Amino acid sequence: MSDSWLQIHGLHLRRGSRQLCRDLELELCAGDMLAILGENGAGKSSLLLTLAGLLPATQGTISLGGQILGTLSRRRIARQLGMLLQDHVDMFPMTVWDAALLGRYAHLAVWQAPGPADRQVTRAALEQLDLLALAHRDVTTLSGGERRRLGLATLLVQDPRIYLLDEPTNHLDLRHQMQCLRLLSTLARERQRAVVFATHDLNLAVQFSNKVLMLYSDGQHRLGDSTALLTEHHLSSLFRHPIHGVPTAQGLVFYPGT
Amino acid sequence: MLLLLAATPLCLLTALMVGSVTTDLATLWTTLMPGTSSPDMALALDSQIILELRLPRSLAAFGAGALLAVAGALMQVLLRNPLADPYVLGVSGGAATGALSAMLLGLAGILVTAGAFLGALCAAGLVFGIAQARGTWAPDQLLLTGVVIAMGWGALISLLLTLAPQRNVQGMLFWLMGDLSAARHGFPALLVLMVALLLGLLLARSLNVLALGDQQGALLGLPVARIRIVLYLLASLLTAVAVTLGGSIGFVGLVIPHLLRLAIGSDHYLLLPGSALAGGCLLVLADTLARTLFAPHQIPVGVLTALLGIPVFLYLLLRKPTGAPA
Repeated sequence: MSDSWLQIHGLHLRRGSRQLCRDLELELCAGDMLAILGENGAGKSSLLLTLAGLLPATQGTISLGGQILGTLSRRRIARQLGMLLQDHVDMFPMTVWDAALLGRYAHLAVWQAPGPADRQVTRAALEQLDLLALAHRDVTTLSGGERRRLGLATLLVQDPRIYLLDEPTNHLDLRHQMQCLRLLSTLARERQRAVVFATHDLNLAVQFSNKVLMLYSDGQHRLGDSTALLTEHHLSSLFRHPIHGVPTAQGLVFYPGT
Repeated sequence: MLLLLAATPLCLLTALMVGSVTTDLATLWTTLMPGTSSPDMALALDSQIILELRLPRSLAAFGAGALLAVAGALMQVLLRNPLADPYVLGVSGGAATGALSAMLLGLAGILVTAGAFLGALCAAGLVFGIAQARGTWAPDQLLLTGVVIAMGWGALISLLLTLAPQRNVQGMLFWLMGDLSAARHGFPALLVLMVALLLGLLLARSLNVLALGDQQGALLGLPVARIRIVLYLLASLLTAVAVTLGGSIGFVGLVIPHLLRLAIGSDHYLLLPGSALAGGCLLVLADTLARTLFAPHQIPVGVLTALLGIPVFLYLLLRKPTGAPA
């Protein structure tokens, strides 16, 4: 298939003595919005890092655009796949603009300076995340939510086909949470991108995902369509806590029982 | 940045004019311009002092200062720590052990220099070997290895100082504190500096990406391990050359890059050449003071860089709230 960006076959993940997932079969296609749900430590971040090639798979293969992930250079991976890490700490001062522009790194040759097109992409990304006014601010002075949005903007500047996001709405206020996921879903729908996001917000998963991967703490997993998996029954068993759904005009809204 | 460009020739000129024999600009001009010969004996003496003593020494000072500052800037990215300096991984300790061993054996001049350079390479090679063998170039691992090894060198240096006969100890102490009075050959250092700066400019964007962290860097497309190795080798080589030239002159390598990060930000396209100019200027000025302040006595330039630099640095640090550069 020409618009299948990422294929995973028989993936086993193990960290220390803990089995995080077994025999995962997954294909990511253009337009997919896959939500990863699971308890703390169930392996959401590890899975994302493995898909990005930053952690080795215990067993199984991951192919990116038809090629085995491990055989590709970081530069070639970065042109196809980008990831927003869970946390980011800045050690050195740098302006917001410069940090976002570094998203072009994989697209520029060593001796090549960023051109007008690169600057245009950067400007657009900062604008989309309400950061243009902060372009000259030093990154070490940003608030947690602002830094998070800068991470997203950098990812937009990098412009990969596959977006991996580890809890993208962390630190974001409500408006920016919605803005961020609307942006990603537009990218998936209109520009044939594939988006994978780990989240603890069930209602964002309901609103924005078309597929769900549930990682259980015992190493089992469940993969399927959002409409089939995002139910009181499945969610309550996943989080080992009663979860109730209320039908609203925007679909089901989940809240935890006490 | 422009300020630094302008300051460089001024510093060098000052260094050439000031000393036990003070010369004026006119004398300097006649001396430096080729093809002008003067029958005046006094002028001939002046020009000899300038051309054969002050010029090589100033160039050596500029070279050593620039190398140390650039090495410091590189080391800070490598270890992802703004407090790292060129010596933190033990290169200077190795050089000092080499130089002091040579002195203890009664060698002098070029052989001490060779000892220092060999020692520096040994030290760099040791840390490199350990990092390769362990298969990790992660900053904290590298820092830990380097710091422990640097302590080892420190112990060896103390041992050598204890064993050394009294008459050798002062020379050794001078060497340890950093001293340019024996530095005569600045040109190799300046050549290394030029090559390093060119390489540094090619690497600058990669350094900017690496400064974001290893994982983030890799995600943006950076071959992190390879860049780290190149960076380590480059920083070690620069430090080795600088230390060989002037002993372990402290402070320049830590404070110049740090100060420039505060003043002009961390973009390595500006930071590396800026560090070179600022480090060079600082050391030229410090060395000029070192040989004039208590003339005819010379004091080790390393003592001066620290005495001068620390108040300036503290002032800048206190004036500016952390993490709010211009």
